[in-house]
Amino acid sequence: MKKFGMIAILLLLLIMTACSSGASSGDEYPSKNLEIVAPASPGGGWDLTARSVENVLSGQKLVEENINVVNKPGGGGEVGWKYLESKDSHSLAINSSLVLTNNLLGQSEMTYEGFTPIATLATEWQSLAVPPDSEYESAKELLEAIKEDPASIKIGVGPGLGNDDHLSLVQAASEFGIDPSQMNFLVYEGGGDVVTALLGGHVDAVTTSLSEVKDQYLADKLNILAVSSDKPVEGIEDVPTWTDQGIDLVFPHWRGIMGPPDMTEEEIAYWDEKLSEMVETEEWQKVLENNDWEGFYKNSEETKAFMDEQHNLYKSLIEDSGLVK
Amino acid sequence: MKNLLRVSLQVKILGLVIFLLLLVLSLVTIMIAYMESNKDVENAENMALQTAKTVSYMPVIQEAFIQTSHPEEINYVSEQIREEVGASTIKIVARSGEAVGISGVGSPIRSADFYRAVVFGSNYILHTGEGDDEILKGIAPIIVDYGEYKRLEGAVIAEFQMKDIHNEVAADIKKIIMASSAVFVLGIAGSFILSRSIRKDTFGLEPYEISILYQERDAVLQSVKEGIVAIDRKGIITTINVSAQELLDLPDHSEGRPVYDIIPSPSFLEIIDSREKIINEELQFGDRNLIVNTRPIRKKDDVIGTVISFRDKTEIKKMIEALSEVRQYTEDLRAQAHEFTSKLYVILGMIQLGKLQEAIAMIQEETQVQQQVTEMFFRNIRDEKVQAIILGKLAKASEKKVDFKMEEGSSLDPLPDHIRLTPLIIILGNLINNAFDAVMDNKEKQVSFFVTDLGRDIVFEIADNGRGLKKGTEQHIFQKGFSLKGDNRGYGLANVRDEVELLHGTIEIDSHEHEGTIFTVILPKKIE
Repeated sequence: MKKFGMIAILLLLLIMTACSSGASSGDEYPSKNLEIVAPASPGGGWDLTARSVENVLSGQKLVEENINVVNKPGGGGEVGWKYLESKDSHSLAINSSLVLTNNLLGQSEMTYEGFTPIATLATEWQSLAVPPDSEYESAKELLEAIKEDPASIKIGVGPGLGNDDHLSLVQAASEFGIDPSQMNFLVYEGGGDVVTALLGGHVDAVTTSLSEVKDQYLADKLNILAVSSDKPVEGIEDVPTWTDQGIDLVFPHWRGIMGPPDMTEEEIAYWDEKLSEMVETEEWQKVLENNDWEGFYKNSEETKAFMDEQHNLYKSLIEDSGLVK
Repeated sequence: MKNLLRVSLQVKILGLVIFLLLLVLSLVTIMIAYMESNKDVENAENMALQTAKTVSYMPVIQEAFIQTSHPEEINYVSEQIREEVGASTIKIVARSGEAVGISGVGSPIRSADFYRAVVFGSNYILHTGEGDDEILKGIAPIIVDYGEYKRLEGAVIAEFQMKDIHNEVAADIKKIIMASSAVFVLGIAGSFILSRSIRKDTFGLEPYEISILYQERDAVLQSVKEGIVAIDRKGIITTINVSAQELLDLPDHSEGRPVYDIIPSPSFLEIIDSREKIINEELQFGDRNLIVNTRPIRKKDDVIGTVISFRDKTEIKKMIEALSEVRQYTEDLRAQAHEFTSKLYVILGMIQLGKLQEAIAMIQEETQVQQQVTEMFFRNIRDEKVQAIILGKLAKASEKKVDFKMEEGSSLDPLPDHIRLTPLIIILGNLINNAFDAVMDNKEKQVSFFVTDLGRDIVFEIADNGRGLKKGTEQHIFQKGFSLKGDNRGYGLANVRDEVELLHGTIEIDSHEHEGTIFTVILPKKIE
């Protein structure tokens, strides 16, 4: 009996020391090297975002600890985010709307609620482009034609259905009363292939990021019928937004950063402080300019609200049958 | 309540086993059934999704969309797959909702079902309908590769009847229940065998009977006047009774401690260590004389323990002394009766011879002597116990021709209750007998007895004019075995001293060689 008592006391002591040591290490975050996961191969948008954040934070000495960028490509972000799930609060990962749509499209079990939102950093805008000699002068004319005969208009998209390029046009078409299931999407390998297909006359229109077509537009090699921003985009102010054309659609292609589940309030506050400082720096402004991104900073709390809102939007977009509308 | 719980061992074991088995088995059955049914549904879902995907990838179907023809072959192939996986229906639809191929039970094509597949290229599961009509649908998009680009052309819908899946689950659960029933029966059989085997081991006694037996054994052990100690092979005390504790002056709770630590006597330990059967061995333990018996407990050839029992020899001696003392009295009284009888015969003879004067004179003389004695002794001594002892000794004195007198001024009221007859017999009997023995060789055999209870103490004084003690021997006469009368004696004075001490009194001796000895016993009237 006495022996059991001793064991119980020892166990209690162990637990107490374990607890106290756990608490003390939480006081001084970050306590070791930091890690930013780019859930894609080097060179892509996610990788670029991760490296830019690392550059500015370290270059401006905002963060003293070493920051490593780790590439974990695969599964449309799935591999990298799964990796993040198993790490402690010293690891963060870049994300985008795919963290919402992967689950909604039945491609992933993970949900955005399984992570700690840290910030939304930047956004790109979507564009609908046609060849310069196209008979369609405005987005409305094109949508009319699709409504008339959906199969007759070939629309290029890439690299897969369900991405923001695709979803933005599906939403616009739905708004216009077109059944998305009847639309004639040709799926290409990537953004570049889509533009090539358009320039080669293989498709009648493409939906893609503005950065993919902006230069071609300025060179008069194609025509942009609509952008998904809320106001005209700098440099191409003559291109109308969807809202300008009477279609209620603002569609950001945002990128953000998130942490593993259950980060503490102190850790979140740390990143709120550092990242809000970062987006104010000239270096970050330069990054935005070079990549045709737009500043879209939201802190952790705002990002959480934004994600909830986006989730509901995507959910209704994907799950509600277009026919019902 | 207690009586309700006092059921036979068999009922107890059986009840517990049934209760536990029912609890465990039902929990396990429910858990397995739950997991099994979940697994069955999950399997069916995987199967539906896999079937839809497989069909969507089949070249014949891809070909059909590229060629925009609907060959009979599609139906044939999908029918084959449908039968193989047990689906109720496999539908192949174009984006427009047009049926390209259908096999199995016909059911309406609902475009809402495959909207996500044809717009976003999702693979997913749907459950439609309720109850028996519930249908599980696995839906996969048909993506046709045109080389440079791919296009979503339609969807495959593989349908399964949930009814079939539920039947499968029910069959599985039935199997599990059968298995656990078998375990239940086995468990009951096992508990029967167990309770039987336990009863066999306990000579058919129920546990409560065993506990009563145990308590009885303990009570018997504790009530025995002999000291009993049992030790195991390592010398650890396993059983000890109250008498043993008292005789060996051991503290309480000696059980479980090594006998070598708590018994200080080497000779006692030697006996214990001998591991042999020893009968009536005498040994000195402190100031006690013990008679020890040991008996080793053997298991086959090994000694696994020893039982030691012992009595206090001093006590036995005392009992024997007291007994012989009492017998002495009857002897003494018979002697007196005998003396009177002979005197009566003398008087009878005188009367017959007509010597009446002499007879009367003799009777008067006898009466006077008797009265004198009686008056002298009993007028002042009003305690019946002392009276009886003195009366006996008077007879003995007259037989031995000893002049046994009571000193002037003796007086004694009835003694207090705590001074009982036996100690008095031992104290006074021994001292007076010793005095008689001491004067045996004298011409003038004088022994006097004095008692007084004035004050807080009762004082007895027995004096003789015998040979007295040599100087220096006074100290030894109270030791055991000291005797002037020969071997194997000498317990008398030791016993006297013990009894006096028990009564919280003192004994003094005043002796001069050739002049005589005076023993003085002082007993307090009250023991504090």
